[in-house]
Amino acid sequence: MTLDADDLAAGMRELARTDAPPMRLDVAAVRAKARRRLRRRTAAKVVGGILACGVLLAGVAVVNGGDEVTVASVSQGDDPLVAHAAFGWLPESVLGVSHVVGAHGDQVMARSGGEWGMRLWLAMHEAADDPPVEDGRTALPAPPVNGRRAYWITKDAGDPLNGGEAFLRWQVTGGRWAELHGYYLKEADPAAVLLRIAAGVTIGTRPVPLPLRIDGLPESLDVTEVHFWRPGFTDDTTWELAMFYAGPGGASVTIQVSPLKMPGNPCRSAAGLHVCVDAKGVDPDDLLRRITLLGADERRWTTQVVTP
Amino acid sequence: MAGSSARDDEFTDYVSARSAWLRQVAFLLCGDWHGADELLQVAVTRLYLNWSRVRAVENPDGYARTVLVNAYLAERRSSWVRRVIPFTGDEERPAADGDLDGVLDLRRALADLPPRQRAVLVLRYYCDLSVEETAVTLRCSQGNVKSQSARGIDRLRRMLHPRAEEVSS
Repeated sequence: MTLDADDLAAGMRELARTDAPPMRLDVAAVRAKARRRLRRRTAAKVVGGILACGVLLAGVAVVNGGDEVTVASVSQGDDPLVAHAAFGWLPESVLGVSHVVGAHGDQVMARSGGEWGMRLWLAMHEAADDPPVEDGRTALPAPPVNGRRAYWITKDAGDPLNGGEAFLRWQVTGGRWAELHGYYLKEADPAAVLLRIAAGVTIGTRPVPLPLRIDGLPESLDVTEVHFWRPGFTDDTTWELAMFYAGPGGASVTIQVSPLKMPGNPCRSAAGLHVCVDAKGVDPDDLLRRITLLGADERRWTTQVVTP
Repeated sequence: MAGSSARDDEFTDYVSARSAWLRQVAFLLCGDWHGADELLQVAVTRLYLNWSRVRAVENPDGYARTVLVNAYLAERRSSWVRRVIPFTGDEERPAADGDLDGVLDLRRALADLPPRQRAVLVLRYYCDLSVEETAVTLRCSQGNVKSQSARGIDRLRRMLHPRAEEVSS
């Protein structure tokens, strides 16, 4: 039995019908409290603005002070997608490596085919003497990776591979910790395979080659997210790239490239690929004309994606 | 005063009519009814503060749902979550005619998801929003909704059917 969308929807409906205690919402109290807040808001508008800035800055500080450092990110340079760590050796069953980067989290994942194909997620953590270990988990020593300390992170101290959802963390350049998170592992010796994959991971920033070139992207546009699914999101035999840009005055652009035809307008096909542009505040037809598709052979892909 | 009273009546009517539904969404987001009540209180207060805007929108339910989800995600980022007692499985019982074990398992599994993944799944599969509508609610891209959905369902599968992968391999 597998969990599909219908199962999940039905399960959630049933869960929402769980016997519940009486609701504690007091609408009159809510109104009174909100009115007091409205009065304070009016009286302290200027102070409130300053405080709001403070809260915002504090929020940024929290984000920057978080434990996880990014494994890939967007870039406003020639290539909108850069990786800060990369897989090296991977089992033959792996079909490709996907990058999903932007404001909502950065992910690098390698996967095998099929619904239950092996998933391998790469992540990075800040420099520290010891590996990061979440509450309720234990760090069990693993064989060194490239001569550096390594640990299995597990909920069960008697099971390094954590019931098949394995986390391997090992120290890399600069004292940071790399993480390999693997599941649906079908290998005969999953621990040895994960250690070998970890040994092949390289640390360092490098642009990810992409299958298009854009000549003269408006300078006011900044890339906000890049999703490069290899293989495709739901299809093992293809791939899809989506790049999201934002500009002043609410301008936004989404560029999608795939070997498959996609819904959207305007679109164009060339070199065995299809590209669609969705734009607000920018002429999509003009932008489409500026795009050169480089074909399905990734040896022809480029890191000079955006040219003046 | 008459305007204020009319506004209050309108607000009260809306909340009275929709609070049960909003509470269910809040429950699915945060996983316990007491937390759902706190979340509902926060969201309804924000609705009152912005009532003129709620009245002007075409879809007040969508607005209220967005406020609720934002309140949930904000709470998860704050120290409030540290005060929440983790789910132990015996606080409330599922409705008697349902699959007790299945519902409790789903509740535990949902509780183990990161907040944003959980919000995506609740919006997509309980509120029945499209990928596009979910992206608008969460102010993120459609691709992000897709990836969060996939990762969330993946994780639920592993938690709910740990042996299914062996069977299907």
